[in-house]
Amino acid sequence: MNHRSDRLDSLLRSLARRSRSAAKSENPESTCPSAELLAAYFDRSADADELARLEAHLVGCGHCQAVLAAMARADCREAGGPLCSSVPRMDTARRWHALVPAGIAVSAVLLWVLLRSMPSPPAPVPVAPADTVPVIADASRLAGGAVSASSASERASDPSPPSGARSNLPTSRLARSVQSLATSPAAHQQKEITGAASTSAAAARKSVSAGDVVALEKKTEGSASQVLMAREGPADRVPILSSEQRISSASSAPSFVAVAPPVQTAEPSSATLETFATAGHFSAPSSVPLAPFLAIAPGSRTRWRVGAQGRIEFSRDGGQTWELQRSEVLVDLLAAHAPSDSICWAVGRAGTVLRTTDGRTWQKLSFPVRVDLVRVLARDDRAAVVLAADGHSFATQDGGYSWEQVVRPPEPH
Amino acid sequence: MATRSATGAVSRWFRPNSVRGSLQEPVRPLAQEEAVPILAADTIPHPAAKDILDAPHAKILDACADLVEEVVVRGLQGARKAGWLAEGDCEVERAVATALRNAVGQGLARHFCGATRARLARSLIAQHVHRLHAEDLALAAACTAGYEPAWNYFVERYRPALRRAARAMAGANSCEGAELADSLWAELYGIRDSASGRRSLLDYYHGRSSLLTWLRAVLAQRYVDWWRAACRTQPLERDEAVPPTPYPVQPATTAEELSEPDRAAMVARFERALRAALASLTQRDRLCLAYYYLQELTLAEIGRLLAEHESTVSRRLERVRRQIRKAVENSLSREFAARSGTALLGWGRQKRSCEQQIQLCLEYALQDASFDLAALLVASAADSESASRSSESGRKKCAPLRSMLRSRT
Repeated sequence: MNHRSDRLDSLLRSLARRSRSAAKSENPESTCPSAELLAAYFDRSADADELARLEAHLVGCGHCQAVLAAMARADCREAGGPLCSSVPRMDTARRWHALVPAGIAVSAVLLWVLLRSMPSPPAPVPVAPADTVPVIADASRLAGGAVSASSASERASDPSPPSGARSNLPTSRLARSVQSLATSPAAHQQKEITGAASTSAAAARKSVSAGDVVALEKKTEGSASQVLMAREGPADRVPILSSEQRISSASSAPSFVAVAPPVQTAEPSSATLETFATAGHFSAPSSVPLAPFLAIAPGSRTRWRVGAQGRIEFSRDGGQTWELQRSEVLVDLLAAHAPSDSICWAVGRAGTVLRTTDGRTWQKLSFPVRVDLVRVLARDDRAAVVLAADGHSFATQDGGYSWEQVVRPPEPH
Repeated sequence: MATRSATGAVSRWFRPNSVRGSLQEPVRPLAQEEAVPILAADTIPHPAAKDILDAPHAKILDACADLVEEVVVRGLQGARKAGWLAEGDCEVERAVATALRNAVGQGLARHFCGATRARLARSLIAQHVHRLHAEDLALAAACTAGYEPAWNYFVERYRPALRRAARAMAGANSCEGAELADSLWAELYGIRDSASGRRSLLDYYHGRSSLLTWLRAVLAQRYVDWWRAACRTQPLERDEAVPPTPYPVQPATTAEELSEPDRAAMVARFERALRAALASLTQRDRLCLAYYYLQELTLAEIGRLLAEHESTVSRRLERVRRQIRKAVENSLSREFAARSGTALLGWGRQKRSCEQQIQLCLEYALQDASFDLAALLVASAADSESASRSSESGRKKCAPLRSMLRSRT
């Protein structure tokens, strides 16, 4: 449909071109209004009936249109001031005024470069065995409590409480953990999850350990400040999931905390992204009944949280106050990720992918499959990887115009 | 002149041979030939121009002398503030006041020429007079009267602005703009006329807009006239060049599915549909289209002309395009459906073939349309006018019937 309106536009343009070349031979009509009347029209001091007559004349008279067009050009140039390139001389004061915004921009860029080049303070990295996955999930807080017992107990032994992890967990390595969160109270969901835990280890690996996800993460750097994280020994190894993340499709969405990679560090390979605590509720004041999924923009106090029925909230002050944003969708949103303080991706049920590039307005992107999406990882406003509930993951490089299913190489063993 | 010998002080300041500068003269009745402007660019042949001096009108205008005085007072105040009228020089002040009074009188006569008595109501005249730019009019009147300080002020103030305007119209690099602007100054100063002495272009300024806008309008008219004359002698290549980019139309399906391969007929059909679509637009929408496509104005400039915000203009254009597309598609698909017959094809297939045909029409029109947008706009304006008239007359025709029905019930 869109290209057809483009065609209409170009058709109108070509017709206009034709009439411009036809108009050359045409004389100004003798019934054209005087300069005085045109000037009065331009200054909006013409009477009502004069106005009506004049507009009726103008539609058909190329000459008067051209006169008014020339006047409008002259007027807008004049009003445009510094934008007007045709003004040859500018007094010094005005020239300096014009340089003020440029100066601000330059100093901002310099500041940014300076900050970027400063090494980030080395942080102690807790070394963990390659196969352990720390748990953040507080089982008692879970609504359903349907966490698979073995993995839950294993994880519960993890010493780092969420608050501690939140204080500062710098990141040098890629750490990834996905936890099986049985958040749904529905019994069949529990069965599904526990059953899946035993049988589909391979599927679980497929589901999250997408190589390109890792690649993506490596590009984004920083320290996850607000999360519990699991880490793997060798940084370059693609982490294998010890458990499966299967998000129940029940109506109450699980609550996660997603942390976008914050402050840039000098070493891009030490990427981290991590995630997924199951905070039963979120402590920030909110009127949302459903505990939301939080996305934190790196290096800023900007946060988004997404929740049931397309609810998106936005905070500029690190979660003190939240404002509602229009998402235009009504499906539950299950995850979000913010690669910067103006860009955020959110995904949800039935193939819902939303994105904001200005931090305010959300745009629904097309997605090929109507499958629940449980995770998203974005590098910027164009490149992102989403993970579907059935274990497949999809990547886009062009801001959601096209999606590719990520095919992972077979596991070595 | 008589005034010169009468008041030596004034003659020091005023050049002789000025039309409005016949100082100290009472407001003289307007001569008939003065009412009809001389310059071609400034012509409104008003059918009722000769009614100007009809006795009742002149009387009514006389009755509004207090309104005119109000303008004179405002104008003189503005002049003193601007600095070109020296304080305390009664002779000069009186001379300027007289010139201004004359100018206002002429403007009123001109504006209300041929007006019915109803339009000459005092309230309307008062409204008109209040809107006048008295200060600018005073400056113009003093300039045509030959008051040197006023002329100097005028040149100093408006010359750079006029050059800027000319440059904006003609482009920064062309020297034609500057030439045009300069050539205007000779006329503004006044060209010697055998019959009535010096006649300045400023005589045609009656204060209905600001002086700058009026100067720009005059300049724009000159510029457009010049441009058209120049184009007539040497056509510009720029306009002919750009060929429309070809659009991939699948030849196989078109040969298969199109019942009528006649290109010219399709283009004609498309033209009809487009014209009908344009006729369904409002006048303002059509004007907006013309500014955007024909005059290639930016949105901001269109907004300036239509007194709308830039974004409103953008939305309006978008809506107009959508409306046109929808109307064209509707009328074309109706035509195709009627042509192909509904029995032969399934609904989905028929719809698809309709869409293809519409697409094809658009492409054909893009490649070899023989009509142009300006002509279409004019024709559609006439169409919609006649349509509205016929609907009005239809309503009138129906009216007796309706009243009959009503009376029966």
